[in-house]
Amino acid sequence: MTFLSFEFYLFLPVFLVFYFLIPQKYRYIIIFLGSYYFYGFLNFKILYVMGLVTAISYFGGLLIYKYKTKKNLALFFALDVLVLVAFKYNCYNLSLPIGLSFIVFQSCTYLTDVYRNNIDAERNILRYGAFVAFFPTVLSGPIQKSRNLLPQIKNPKPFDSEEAKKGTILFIWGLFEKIIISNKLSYIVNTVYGNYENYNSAYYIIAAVGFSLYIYADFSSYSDMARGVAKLLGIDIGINFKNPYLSKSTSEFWNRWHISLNTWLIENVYIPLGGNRRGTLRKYINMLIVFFISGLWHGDKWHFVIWGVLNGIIVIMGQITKPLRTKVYQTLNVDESLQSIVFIKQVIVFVLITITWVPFRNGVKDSLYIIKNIVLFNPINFFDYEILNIAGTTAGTLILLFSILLFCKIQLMRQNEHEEFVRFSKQPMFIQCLCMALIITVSIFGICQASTDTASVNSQFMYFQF
Amino acid sequence: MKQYLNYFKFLGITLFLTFIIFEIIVIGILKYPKDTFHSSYQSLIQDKFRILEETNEPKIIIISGSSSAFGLDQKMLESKTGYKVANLGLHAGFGHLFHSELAKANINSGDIVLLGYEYNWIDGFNYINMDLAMSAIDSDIKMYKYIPRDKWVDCIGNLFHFAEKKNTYAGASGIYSRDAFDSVSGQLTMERDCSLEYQKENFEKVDISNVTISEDAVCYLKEFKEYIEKRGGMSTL
Repeated sequence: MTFLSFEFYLFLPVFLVFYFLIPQKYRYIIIFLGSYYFYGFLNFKILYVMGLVTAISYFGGLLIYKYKTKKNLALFFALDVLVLVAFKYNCYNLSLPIGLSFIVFQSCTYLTDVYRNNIDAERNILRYGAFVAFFPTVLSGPIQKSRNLLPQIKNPKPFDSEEAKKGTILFIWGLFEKIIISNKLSYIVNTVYGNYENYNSAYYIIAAVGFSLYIYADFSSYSDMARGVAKLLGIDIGINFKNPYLSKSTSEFWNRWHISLNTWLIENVYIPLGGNRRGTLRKYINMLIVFFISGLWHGDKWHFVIWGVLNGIIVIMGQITKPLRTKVYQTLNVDESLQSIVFIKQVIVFVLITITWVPFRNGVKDSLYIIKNIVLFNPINFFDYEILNIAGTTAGTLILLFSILLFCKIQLMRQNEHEEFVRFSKQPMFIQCLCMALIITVSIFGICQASTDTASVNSQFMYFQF
Repeated sequence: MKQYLNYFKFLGITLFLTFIIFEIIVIGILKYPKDTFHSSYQSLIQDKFRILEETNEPKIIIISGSSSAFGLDQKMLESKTGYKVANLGLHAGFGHLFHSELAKANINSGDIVLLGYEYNWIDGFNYINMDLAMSAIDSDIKMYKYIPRDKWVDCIGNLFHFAEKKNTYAGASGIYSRDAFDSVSGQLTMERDCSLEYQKENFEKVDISNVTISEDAVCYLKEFKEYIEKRGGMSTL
């Protein structure tokens, strides 16, 4: 089941009724049952894998809690990761259960949290199972830290209408991001990249920028919907993105992008490797290893590894040249925090990240061809009226452009999400509901249209495959 | 309890407004401007459907493509058989599902349903050309209920394209227009400028030696036959 499947809209109300009907201390049972139903809805066999990962980390947690040795942690950590490796890298011709990377990484956080005394070992296996399989995040994260989620499952908050309202708004906005922005952009990207020999550099640039926005909208939409559903249960799962394309450096970008995975990699790879405590050179090597693993986490294809390493190199180069850049600003007597300078930095980061997304989306050979054509682009290629039909029709392209502007505006406003929510809540109830109703209506039309026109894209989110 | 009520108030009003906005947009696009495609050939289905609905005595219902619209003399058929004729034959591009579902509006005891499906319809049984169907039904909203439920999503999905088409439709004339037919009987009345001459080289050879019918088609036809018989009619393919 996914957040866009029809069944989910039957499942959720039933789940919520049961969840709030039973006493708070037993609600984890409903989360456990609901999550297993949600995850195994289309293929119950993947529940075996879920059960295996849960069992490994559950018993591992108990053992690590009792005998806090590095050996125990390494053993159960490795066992968990082994399950992922076996499926992900196709060791035994097994098909990858959806969201397995997220499940394994989440259960690994539990092992390290127990080892580092951040949390006591969970003795109730159903409660622990509810944590691993927690249905709002099970398919695509955000990867939860056990120290954050387990206590909330253990001691759920009573129903709070403001939190539930916030959750509903987040869910509806996520729906809009997915249906109207992500799906439509995906059509452009797939059309151009899928047949790149027939297009020119103008299309490559549009597709590259489109992919940057697409991957953000797609992943952010899932995270927003997941946060929304969790908030309905009174659970806060944290944010996964902080307007990454507003970053002024590539290092900052990676602190704002897929926050839960990057935090996981820092806590479980970078710091154990020594972090920045062992000198500058070692720090850079550690960073490169983290990016290499991040690439590998996305898949066993070379283009993912290249994407990871490329990002590592860009971030390291950024750090190496930082003193030099600061000196240049000082020499030229320019204030780095000036709006225009900040904007130029943001554009540079966006361009660099956009270029690195090319090998993320395409094979190595294709990427080289596309990047070469983007770098040596021919400006005359933009003087082509056909570009206006890139989203299927001219009207479709203009509507998409308008939708992207709206998306960017709202995402910018969300930098102060809580304040914006308070401001929104002060508006008359009718206006609040009308805004939500308009977004839902547009999304419904978007869903219906996707089932008929060429922009048809399935209801899967991109990060399901990882 | 107050917390629940507050939330349900928010959710309830939001869903209610969604329903209202959705309805306003759908009905607004379907209804206004009214009868935009009135002159079109496909909109003749409205007259044909009206005839079907109004004919309550035993009748022959014809489900077919344009060969029945242009090539059938209904009066002759009525006088020879003693049955009334409701000839739904029109544009083959609709997909036979459209004609077949419309026919269900008024099948009664003693009716004969002639299924004159075309060869190339056989595999695309679960198909309605929504663009054509919507411009045929136009603002005659009651006819939309004969579009199968599993096609409603396609129907809504095509809505803005339909609006775009409404905005640019220039009207139709000649033999492929509604004016070529009598609005009361649905019979072709306009003189054709020329008769088609069969020139062998202009037509592709159709191989019908190895024709198979898809599972969907078999399933639908069985269900349709059962439906007709349940209503007291009989069908023939």
